[in-house]
Parts: sequence; structure tokens; C-alpha cells
Amino acid sequence: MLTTRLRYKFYVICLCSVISAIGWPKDSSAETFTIDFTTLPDKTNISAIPKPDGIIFGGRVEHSSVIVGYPVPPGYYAWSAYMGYGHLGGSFDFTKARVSKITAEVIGVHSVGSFSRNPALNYWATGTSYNPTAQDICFLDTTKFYTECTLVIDGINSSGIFNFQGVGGQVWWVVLIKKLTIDYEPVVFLDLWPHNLQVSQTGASLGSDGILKVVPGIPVKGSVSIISAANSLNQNETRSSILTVQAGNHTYSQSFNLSETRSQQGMLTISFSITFDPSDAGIQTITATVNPGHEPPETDYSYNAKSVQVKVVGDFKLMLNLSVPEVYPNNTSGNSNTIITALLSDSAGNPVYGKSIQFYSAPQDGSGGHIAEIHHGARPKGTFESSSCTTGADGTCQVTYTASQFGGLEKILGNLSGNASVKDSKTLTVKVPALAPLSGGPYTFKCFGNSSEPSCPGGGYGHTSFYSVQSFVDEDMFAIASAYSGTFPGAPLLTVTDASLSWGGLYDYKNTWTNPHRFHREGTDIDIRSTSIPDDNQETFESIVCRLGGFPNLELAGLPNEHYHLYFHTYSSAISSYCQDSQ
Amino acid sequence: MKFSRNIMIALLYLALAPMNAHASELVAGSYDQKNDWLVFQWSSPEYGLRTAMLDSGNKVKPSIHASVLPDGSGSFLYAFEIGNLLGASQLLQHVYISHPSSVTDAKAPAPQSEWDMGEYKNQGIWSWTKVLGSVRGIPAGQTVKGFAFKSKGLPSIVDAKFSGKRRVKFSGPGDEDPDGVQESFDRVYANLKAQYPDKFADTVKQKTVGPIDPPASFNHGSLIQNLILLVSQARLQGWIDNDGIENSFTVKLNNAQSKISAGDMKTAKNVLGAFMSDVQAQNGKHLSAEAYALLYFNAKYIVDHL
Repeated sequence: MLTTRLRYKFYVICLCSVISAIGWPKDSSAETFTIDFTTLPDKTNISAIPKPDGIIFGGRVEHSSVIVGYPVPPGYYAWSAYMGYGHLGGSFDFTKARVSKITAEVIGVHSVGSFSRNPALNYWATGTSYNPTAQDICFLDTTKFYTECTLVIDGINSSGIFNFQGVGGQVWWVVLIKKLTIDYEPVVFLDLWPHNLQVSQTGASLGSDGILKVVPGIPVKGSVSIISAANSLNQNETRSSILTVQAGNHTYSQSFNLSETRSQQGMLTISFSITFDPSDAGIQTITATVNPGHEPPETDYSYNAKSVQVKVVGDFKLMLNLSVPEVYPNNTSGNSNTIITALLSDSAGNPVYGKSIQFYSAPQDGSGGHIAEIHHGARPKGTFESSSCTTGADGTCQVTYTASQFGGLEKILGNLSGNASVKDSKTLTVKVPALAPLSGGPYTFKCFGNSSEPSCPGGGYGHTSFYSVQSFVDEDMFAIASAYSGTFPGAPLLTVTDASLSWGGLYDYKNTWTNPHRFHREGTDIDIRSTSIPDDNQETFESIVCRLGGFPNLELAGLPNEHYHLYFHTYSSAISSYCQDSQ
Repeated sequence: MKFSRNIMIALLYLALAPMNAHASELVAGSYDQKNDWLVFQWSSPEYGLRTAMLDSGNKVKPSIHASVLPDGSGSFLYAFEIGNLLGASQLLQHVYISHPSSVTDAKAPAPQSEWDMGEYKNQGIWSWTKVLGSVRGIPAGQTVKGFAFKSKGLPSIVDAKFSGKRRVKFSGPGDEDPDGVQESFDRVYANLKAQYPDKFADTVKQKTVGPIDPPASFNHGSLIQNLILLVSQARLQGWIDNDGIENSFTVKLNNAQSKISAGDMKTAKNVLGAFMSDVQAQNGKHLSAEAYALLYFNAKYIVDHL
């Protein structure tokens, strides 16, 4: 391609011993390259002469007294081109250098002593942003056989192909450059270009359009290989560069150093990560750019950017479903497990495969008869078989949740891993069903008429509705109290101190989210104040309890907390021993 | 104070450890041979060392005699005389008599107020428990009359259970005990029960006469067969003291059965009438009151329906 731009061959006449006349400072932002063709040996191949990066031109030095038939005075050395018509010219490839100023010392040789037209050294340029002006020309004296001028082109500040040509004279003249000075800034950055840009996301799949479908909130991880031209850097040179990855409003930038050694290896791989938002839904272009701002054609490698498209599926929808919306508290006789099914779908309703769903639970304060403000410590939660699951081909996955030991409401929450905005929740009711307050009868309650006692709601007690039982227990209690009061009409009424909470579960009467009570969870336990039963009546009371469905145990006998615990469910065979009729 | 208490608990566990299947059990259990009861001990952080003694209620020697009489209003009066034989080490406090047929107008021995009595919920058992008075049960060597109820049910052979008054009240681990204590107690309890089954038996069982509903549809054949079965069972219980009597009754009943099978109801009725006369004649001689009640009133029921 370069050769097609050459309009003339260059023949430079020079001396080999003056190679030192060629030089350029390294690693400075503004550098100067000077070549004095008069000092180079005859027939010097200009292409072989070392030149700074970004400056390329060829030709040959001719040291002759006659150029195209026109004698040149001894002592003049010239760089010339021969095309048969005496025009001089050539192309200078500055595509890898940002040239600021070109100074050319020019001589003109005339065979008849004068130019009928004004000869000059003119130039044009291709692939550059610089436009020549009327000042970018030097005119020769047309009245002399040998004449000189200096062409100064300043303020170029561009790369490109610069073409020089003698113009305007008759056929019997030639225009030569004897010395050329180029002020330039090396441009090496754009000898790097991205290659093999790849992106992926955990669980992402290709759409039918071949575009990767990614989800918001989860990092899209990518890698890009940086390829450098072999001549990008000088020996032992290190250059700082930057890679930017742009996708919509998301930018990833990373500086990196490219050393000469790396340059020889030719490739550096950089990893990056871009995380999309739900608002990015749609096609997004991820563009990796090396040293952005350095636009072509400052480099032979016009593409310092590489792109790939992804499809951001922005409006995922997560739906949770519970196999049963109501379970028993844990450590009771009923089922306390519910299977949570998570369904993840995209905006079109298609199931989304391979996404991780995270779960957690939050018990609702105050539910189940536990007054949160009076309890100590955090209310216990239920447990998940696994805290997360990964959606299958149908977009669903399941985990089992085991409710806590406490009656109440437990909110089950799930969200897409890494994107909490894609979420759903369901409220699980944890209760022993069909519990109801003791309906009353010939017995009384601890807090009846004493509601301001510390162990009663009016006195700051941490529970409400703690006289709840199953219906058969209610009937049994009525029968027991009726039988007792019928036997002892003048005796104090039996006093119920505790039963179960309205939704059952662990009844932590000390407000500590733990035992005691161990029992009283399912409405089958009633505590009776033993001091309300005269000693002489106690055996009768026990007998009545036994024949009417209960199992009485005098707990903490002799201690201040002594009370009758009436079991209406035999949790173990030992409890049967509280009545003597069982075997 | 607390330190010494803990040492005491530790020593107790060491002493009882070999008796437990689980060396690490929170509850220690053993059989106390001297007192003939079981001892359980465990520690409660709040209440210290806890002890429960389980005294089985089977240390009684019960006797029961039943008599049945029509009350003139279509029901039978079932009356029981219950004793606690010499050698019993517990007062006989609890009496349970099953009654497949419903009962009414129950009575307890005088003074009746000292006895709690009533229907056992959904179990078809009537119970009497001596809950008041200076002596809370029937002492060894004594017999008490006055247990009774009425029923429209025909006399049949039913279970009677008796239980003695525990010498100590049993109060095992409960609601206030730490996690694991109840479970440990259950294991220790089960292990000891397997090792000493009789020390966990709370009742002594016997047979007596109680009411049972006649079949919903009258079937001569099956009723005669049932009567023949009652004869043999009464003999087994000793309520018929003579094999010859048993054989004589069985022959008569088989004869009645053959007449019924032949459709000769009149002759069958005559044969059953003769059977009833024999029963009456042997009542108090070779037949106890129980045998009399069983055979006479069941035969009468058949005769009345032929």
C-alpha cells in the first residue's frame, strides 16, 4: 500500500561515514529527526538507514555532477528522484508519528538559466488531518542556474503520508532536497489493538439469535487479548496504556504496562467485569478499546476497538410458591416443612435456567402471641434445607423450609443471587390449627381479675392468649372442673395458670425464646394452680382427671412453682404412669 | 453451696451409671429393692437434684364377687363385693370394671362421699377410687360391699382391674426441666421397664360379671352357642365348681340347640326352662352368684324371645 503512494523513487547521494548525522531522541514527547543528504555516501539506500518509529521513507542518495543531463556544481549533494522530466519528489510515511513541522532545504538546477514558470517544492498529504496552505511552498529564483530556498511546513500536528514534488517549472529543470528536518512525536500507543474479545456470565445461554443472554446484577466477565506490533516499543522500553470497556453507561478501565519484552511476545490478556442494571435491558454492545482517543489513521492498525453484543434480560420475574402455606411449629406432632418452589422467568415468560436463588426468612414480630418488645434476643427463624438453589431447565428449583418452634408468621423471601431487586416473598403461617381459648366453666384463670400481675398481659407479660387448647381438651377441662366442683361444692374453683398460645408452638413463658415450657405447644397441656386445691381434695382431683381423659403430674412439688400439669396427650409412656389405670 | 451440690450430683451419677444403658444419660434410674420401687434422679439448673419414685400399684391382692338381680324395671342391678386379701402391701384404692353396655345409678360403699367414681372417658370402664377418709383404700384382709350400678345389658364376663395406693406420689421430669432430660428419662424408663416389667405394672386384673348389650338381631343359634361358651368359661373361672354340672348344662343346651335347629321351638323352650331350673337349684351350691347370673339371665333372655 505504501508503494502505491510513491510517485517517485528517491536516490540519495551520501557518505557512509556520516551515519551519525542521523539520530533522534528517544522517549521524549517532541523529537527531531534530521537527515542531511549531502553528508551521506553516494548510493546510500535510505530505507536501510535506521529511523525512529513512525518515520518511514526510502530512496537512494545520488552523488553526481549530472542529474538527468543537467550538471550539478561540484560540492552539491542532493537527494533526488528521476522520472525523466526532472521533477523531484517522494513520499514520506509518517503514519506512526505525529509530525508537527517539516523543514526542507531545497535547491533548483536550471539548464538554460531561467524558469519560464515559477518552480517550487510543493507537497500534498494523504491520510492526514492537515490541509496545506498558501504558505506551504518555497519559490526558487528563476533567473539562476542554481538557486535555493527553504520550505517550512509548521503546525501540522498530524500523522499521514506526506508527498513532496517539485512543481511549476519547465521540463529542463530539477528540484532537489539536500537536507530534511522533521519535528515529530512518536506514536506507539496505537500499535496495540484488542483481539479475541470474549464475555460470559455464570449460567448465561445463547439466544436463538446467537447473542448471549445475560442478567442484571450478576457480573459479566470478559477477557480481551491485547496484541502489540513487533515494532511498537524500543528495546527495554515500557509504555503505559489503558484498556477501557464500555457498555452503555458502564465503563471498565484498566491501565497496563506494555514492555518491550511483552511486545515481543505479542499478546497480553486482560480480564474485566461489567455488571448491568435492570434498566440496561435490551441489546448492549460491549466495546473494548485500547488507548481510546487515539483515532485512526494514527496507526496502521485502524481498529483499536473491538465489540461484542449481549442481550440484557432486564426484567426477570421471580415467583415463590409454598407447597403448603400453613405448617405446624417445629417439634410438634404435625408437619412443619414446606417446599418452596422458585420460578424464574424472563420478560417473555420464558423459564430462566441456571440461576441461583437465595432464600432467607424473617419472622414477623408480635405474631403468634409473642410480644416482641418484651422478649429478650432475636426471634428464632426457621431453617432452610439449603440457603439457595439453582433453577433447572423449567426455570424452577426447590428448597425445603422447616418452620421455627414458634407459632406465628414467617416471611419467606427469595431473590436472584447478586440481584436483590429480582425478588419475591410469601408468608408462611406457622400454627397448630384449631386452637381456641378455654371456653370457661366451673374454673377460673390466673389472670382473671388479676390482669395487672407481672405474669399477666396487663402487667407486662410477653404473651397473649395463652389459654388456648384443642376442642377436646376444652371439653375435658370442663368435665373435670364440673366433676371436681360437683364433688366439692364449697371448695375454691380450679385455677388455670397456663395452657397454649393461640397458634401453639413453643410457649416461652420466660420471654427468652426457649424453654420452659417444654410442652404446652399443641393445646394439650393445662397447668392448674395446686394451691387452689386443698390437700384433702388432691387425690380426688387426680382421680377425676384420670378418668376424664387427663394425666395429672404434680410438678415442682414443694417448691413455690408447684402446680398440676394436666397432660391430655401422652408424649411418652412415662406420662401414662400419672394414672394407674393404663396397664 | 452450689459447688457441693454439683459434687453430690456427680457422685450420684457415678453411683448409678452402671444401671443405665446410656452412660451419658441425664437421668439416672434404678430399682430400689428395699422399698420395692423405682428411683429416678436428674439435675435441674434451677431446682437442683430432683428425685422421683415410681411405686407400682400392683401390690394388692384383690378379690371380687358379683351378683346380678333384676331391678323390676327392665334393668339389672350389678353389685360387687371387693376385698383386699391378706398379704397385700398396698391399700386397694382403685377399682375399674369394664361394662360394654351402658350403666346408670352407680353406687359406692358408704360413706359414698369418700369414693370418687365415674365413667372412664370413652373406655367403657366404671371406676371407684377411695380419695377421702382416714384410710384411702381397702386394707389387706378386708372386704367392702356397696359397689354397684344398673344396666340393661345382659350379664357377661368382663375385666376388672385393681390398683393399690402408691406409697409415694410419682412426679417425673416435666415442663420445667432442661432439654434432653425428658428424652433421657423416657429411655431410662423404657430400659428399666424391660428389666423389671412387674415393677411397672399398676393394676391386677381379674374377671367378673358385667353388662353387655344383647345382639341387635335375635339369633337363637348364636345365643345358645354363646350360652354354652359361658358355661365353659364359668367353669374356668371356678364359678362352677364341678365338671359334672358343667357337662349336664352343656348337654341340655345342645339339646335345646338341636330342637331349635329342627324348628321345634316349643320343645326347645321346655328344655331351656329345665336348664334354668337346674341353674336356680345349683345357685349357692355348685354355682357361684356369677355363674348363676350368667347362665340364668342369658337363658331367660332366649326363652323370652323364642
